[in-house]
Amino acid sequence: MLSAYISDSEADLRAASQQAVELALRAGAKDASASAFSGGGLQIGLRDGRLETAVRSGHRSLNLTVFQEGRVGAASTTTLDPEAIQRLVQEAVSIMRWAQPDADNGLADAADLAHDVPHPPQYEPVSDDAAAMAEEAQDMQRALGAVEKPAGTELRTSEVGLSCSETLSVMVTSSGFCRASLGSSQARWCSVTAMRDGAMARDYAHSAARRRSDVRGTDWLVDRAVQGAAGQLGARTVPSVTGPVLFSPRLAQVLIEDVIGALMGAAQYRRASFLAGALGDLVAADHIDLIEDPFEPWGLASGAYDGEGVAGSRRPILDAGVVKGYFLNSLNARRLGMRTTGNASEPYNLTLSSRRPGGDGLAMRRHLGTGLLVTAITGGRTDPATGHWSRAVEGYWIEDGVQQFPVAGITLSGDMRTMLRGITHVGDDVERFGAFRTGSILVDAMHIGGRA
Amino acid sequence: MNNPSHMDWARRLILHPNQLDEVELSRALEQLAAGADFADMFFESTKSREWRLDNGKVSAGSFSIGQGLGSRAVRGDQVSFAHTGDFRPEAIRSAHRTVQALTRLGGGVAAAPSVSLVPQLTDHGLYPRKDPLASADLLPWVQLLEKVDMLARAAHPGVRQVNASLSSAHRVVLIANTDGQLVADVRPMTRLFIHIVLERAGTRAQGSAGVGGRYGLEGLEDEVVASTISQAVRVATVNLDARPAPGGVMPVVLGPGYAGVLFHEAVGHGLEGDHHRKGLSAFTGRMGERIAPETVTVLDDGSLPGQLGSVGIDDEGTPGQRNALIENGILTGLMQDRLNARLMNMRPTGNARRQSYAHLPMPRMTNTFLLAGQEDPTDIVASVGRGIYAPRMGGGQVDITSGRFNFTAVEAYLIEGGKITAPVKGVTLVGVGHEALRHIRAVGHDWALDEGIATCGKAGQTISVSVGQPTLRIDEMVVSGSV
Repeated sequence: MLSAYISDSEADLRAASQQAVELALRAGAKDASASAFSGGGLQIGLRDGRLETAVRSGHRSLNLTVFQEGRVGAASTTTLDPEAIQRLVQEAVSIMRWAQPDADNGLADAADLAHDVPHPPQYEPVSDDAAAMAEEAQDMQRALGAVEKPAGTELRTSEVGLSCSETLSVMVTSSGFCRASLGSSQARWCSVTAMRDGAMARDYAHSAARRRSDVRGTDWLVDRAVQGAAGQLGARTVPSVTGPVLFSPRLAQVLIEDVIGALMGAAQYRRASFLAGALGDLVAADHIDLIEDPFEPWGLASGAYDGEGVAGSRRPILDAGVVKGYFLNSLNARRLGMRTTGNASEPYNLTLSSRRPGGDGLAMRRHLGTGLLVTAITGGRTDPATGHWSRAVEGYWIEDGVQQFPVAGITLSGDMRTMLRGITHVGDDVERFGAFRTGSILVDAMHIGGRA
Repeated sequence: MNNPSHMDWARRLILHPNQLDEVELSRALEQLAAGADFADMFFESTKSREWRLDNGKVSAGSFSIGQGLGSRAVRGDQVSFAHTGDFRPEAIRSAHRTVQALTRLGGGVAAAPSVSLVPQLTDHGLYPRKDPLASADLLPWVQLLEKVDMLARAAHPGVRQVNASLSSAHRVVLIANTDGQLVADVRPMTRLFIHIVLERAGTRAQGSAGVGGRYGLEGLEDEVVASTISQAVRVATVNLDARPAPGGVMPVVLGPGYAGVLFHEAVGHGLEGDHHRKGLSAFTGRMGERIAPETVTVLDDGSLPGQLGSVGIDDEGTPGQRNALIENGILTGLMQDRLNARLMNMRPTGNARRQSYAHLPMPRMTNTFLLAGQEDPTDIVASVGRGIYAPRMGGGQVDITSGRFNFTAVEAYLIEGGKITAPVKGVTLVGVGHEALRHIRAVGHDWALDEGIATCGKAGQTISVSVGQPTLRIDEMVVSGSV
């Protein structure tokens, strides 16, 4: 046993995966791939200084995919007892027999398998000392109590939380791939409700990383949440207008997500993408770069191989605004006549940057001039096929680079292709959220819907 | 057993294979509850199957087994919780030792209660106690999706892609608590989602639609499948022709059914007991106040037959029931689980729900809807000079503290001079709950629930719900669009 949270050894998981693959081949599958996971963690939550929740989690699972001449079947189980593994194999093989064949189905090509690509560091043992974690949460709570509040503002309720977890995963294929991978994660967060003159507003701050030292400090979290909540008190709407919009770093990732969605293999194959067939095309402002990096040490989205055993590569996705690559697994790569990019799982770490430095947050506001700074998206969607972008947002009204008042209850809309080409600056105020790293993003013109 | 009871199913799938019985569970609860006021165990055994139609081929399917136990001890307002996928008695004892240690963090004393479980036989009749996966014959699954592909391509010459997913689940839960309650529930479910890509003159647009309920494949009758396909095709056609919407404040007419997500967001979330206990809701302290016109009555009813939001018993064993949230315009009720009801000195309302054994229960909605009014839907549209008609929604969100909500239409049209004219691109509508309620002008008589596709997310947990309403006019809403 590796740790208090991982209740199965690597050998146990390998044995279960190998057993599933062997049983599947015996039941008539020509190829099979199995992956097993075991992990768990601890989460502590405090409200107004008192312990509210203490949760100990424990997960295990086994996933199996089987192939036979273009036919595929899949099954998963959260229990690894022998009957469950038998049922898993039987169901996957049965689905395979009934499925209609698609010649592009199958394991990753043997030549693409990452048998010895080194693991980027992503595991630091986590503590299972619940009392120590509760004490750390109390420290966060004390920092929250000591924070200087804007005049006349009361903090009505506050919550702080922390969690840690670890996962061991093993992957085995009938084509000879067999590797294990170990990862940890740590997160800290706090949320506050601020009140002034009967108005209430709430905000939160959250930070997650693979190791403890990469998690944001309490002061940063507390400051973020308190400023965010207090800053939104008395928010009002603005007249409808078309004008420039500055997305804070936390919100800028929403634009990256839409670009990724549009460049995924399935969307490209279905041509249900506002960037369908855009490889080689200039789709964003010509100073914009977007880089994918699977091997960033301690990156939240780092990994030596994907769910098919294929390694990704450090590569440009957008290079000076030009699309340089899609996110492909083996199936969609074959359908498109391309080669897998090792993205059968999620995309790896992504960094958006500009060749034209935009300066810090204050400089970005000066570039904005008069317009909207968006700090929260509360809802809405992007139509993946047309790129029509529509959201409900909150933020601040800026005039001549100076913050005037908080704004809420407004909508923002635009067209993704126009917005990408209309990016005038990306700030140096870079922050990292999950797999994404970006500074604030300034878009030259969007439609703001508010009062008539 | 020809027609096994809920408890028979739980014994067969959960207790018997693991040598568990009432005595063993009683002892486990006593261990779990040491130092706590209340404790419960939530066992779950779920099997599900999904088939996907991917561009003309029924080429992908999957099956999954999800089983586990979530064990919770409550002391005052403090909750300790652990979950495990292992039902063996020694694994349960180990999980309960962990919970005991977590309870002690809050300063609990080790007073051990005495528990004697009595199995409770329920027969709520809200949904069949059947296993939609009982048959190993997969042909009907493949045939149904082939039919979807054929009908969708025949429905419009511009159809370029048809993707669909067909899924069924058989979920059996067993709840045991320190009050001596031992109760089970069998929850079948089937859902079909269809996604269409249309092309005309090089322009592409998509549309989707779905249907679901507490039944097996046999619930997806021909007419149901055909109407789901025609909805998806219609939405795609509308989006092909749609022009940018006008932005700003204007009257909005919402269609019957899923557009009732408005009341889920603008009313329901703000009336969940946990938000009230913590003083976080914009509705806190406003019980008994008039917040909407006389014509507005909003219910949350977990006892409607066949609906995906219905609960014969909720995830704490309380029967689903009809709760009035707003009665003739007056704010009347909250939705509660045991923990929040007890701390607020109220009664549980059958609203304790959880995504799975690995999640804690919270006050959640079931089937939430506005009751029908008197007016003719045609007259309601005709009453608008210039505004938006939005019959189909894509989902919504709310900030319960400020009361600000938003939701997005996937099918919307301009109303000009009392007539529905041009389709407009997916618009986002925003408002503040209590203001939108005050601006309700007309309530139609064409009440409907959504087709069985609604889900609700709260604190990272997703569950099935139903939403509904008749055609409705709201005088002032902010609409996204070009200026």
